[in-house]
Amino acid sequence: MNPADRSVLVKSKSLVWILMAAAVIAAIVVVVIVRGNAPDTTTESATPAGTAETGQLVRENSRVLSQAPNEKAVLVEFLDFECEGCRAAYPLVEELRVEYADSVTFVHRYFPLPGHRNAMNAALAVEAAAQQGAYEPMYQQMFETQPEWGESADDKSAVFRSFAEDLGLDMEAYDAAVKDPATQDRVELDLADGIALNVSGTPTFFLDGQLLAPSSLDELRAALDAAVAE
Amino acid sequence: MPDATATLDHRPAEASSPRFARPRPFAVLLLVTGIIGWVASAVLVAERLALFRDPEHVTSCDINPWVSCGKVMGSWQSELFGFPNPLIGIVAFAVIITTAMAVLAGAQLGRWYWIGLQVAVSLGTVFVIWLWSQALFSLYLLCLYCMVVWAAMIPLFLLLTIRNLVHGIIPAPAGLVRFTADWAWTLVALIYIAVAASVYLRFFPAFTSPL
Repeated sequence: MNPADRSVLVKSKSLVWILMAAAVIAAIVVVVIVRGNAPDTTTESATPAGTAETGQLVRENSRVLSQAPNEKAVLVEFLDFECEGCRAAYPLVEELRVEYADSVTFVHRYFPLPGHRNAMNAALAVEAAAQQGAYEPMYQQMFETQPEWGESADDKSAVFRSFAEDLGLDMEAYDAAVKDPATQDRVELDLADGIALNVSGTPTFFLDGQLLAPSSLDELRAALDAAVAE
Repeated sequence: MPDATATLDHRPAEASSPRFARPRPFAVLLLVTGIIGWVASAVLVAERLALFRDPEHVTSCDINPWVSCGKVMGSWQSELFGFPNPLIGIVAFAVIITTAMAVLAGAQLGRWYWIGLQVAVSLGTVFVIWLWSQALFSLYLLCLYCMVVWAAMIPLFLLLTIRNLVHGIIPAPAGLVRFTADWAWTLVALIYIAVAASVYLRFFPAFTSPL
């Protein structure tokens, strides 16, 4: 290689390395800036005035799927509407909900995983529906239709809105609720509680405050039987 | 320079061939990537065994909901061939280390050996690319030690391929050989940055989340 070629090569190589370094620095700067801005909004939302610190399993505003008249145990599920595991657990949990309707209270907490593009959108939609008393049909609709919108890289809020329309909800109130930052704060509070409780994925179950890691429906049923028998 | 008859299997490396493609430096590269890959695989096997013994075991890489080896190990992707993937790493990286030691000891490996190594490392790379795609787009989970394995495979694959191009093990036009030889380390850095960017963009909320 002659010296002229060599110097062109060195120059172009240096340029590529400088560009790569710039990209890395830019990425770090963005994270630092976003993190720097975050505490203003999230510390407020994660621990709104009047709420105790995070780590509570059930709050007054938590979505109670069904309240047992003769409550002997409380099953709390942290779930993400875009998570396949949660969808797999959904019919099983519904089955148990019928079976233990009398003695076990079922509570849901939102745990939208950041890797899922529409997990937060879905949680906002369900929470907005819940504010009109339609938690149950809306969450069921999410799991029934998950294969149609899950794992998408696009914003599926419009699809979720159509679910609300189908349920005959007051769409003005629904839109307002989805837009209201308080709705997102509400979901993030659940998320913060989950993280404080070492929830590391979805679905995660807590039975009477004890973390459960059931590997089958029968195991979950056995745990419920034991809790109810006590 | 050795005489031409002594290098029947290898086109003699040109004076301008990159330093890393020469026997000793290249053996050191094999040794370093092999050891890094082997250690990461060994830790993964140890954690997997601990999880078999105690399903409640919290692995040393369970950092938050998105960075967790324990969660990854629960997936079918983590045992594609019916046994934990890192067992493959334990065996395969040991071969890389052995090859490095043989070259350091002065062994002249035949052309077919380098072809075999190229095929094996390429298959390993395909496997790692698949694992990367599963982690990012299917599991939404990061496993630190798995990423250490990715980090070892990138230079191992690229530099071995370029080494084999330079030595004529893989036939290619002179222009391509010259280009890859000149840009070898830059290509490694570019792929590192591309992989880091894919993780960064996919898990952006996790990096910026104060939770």
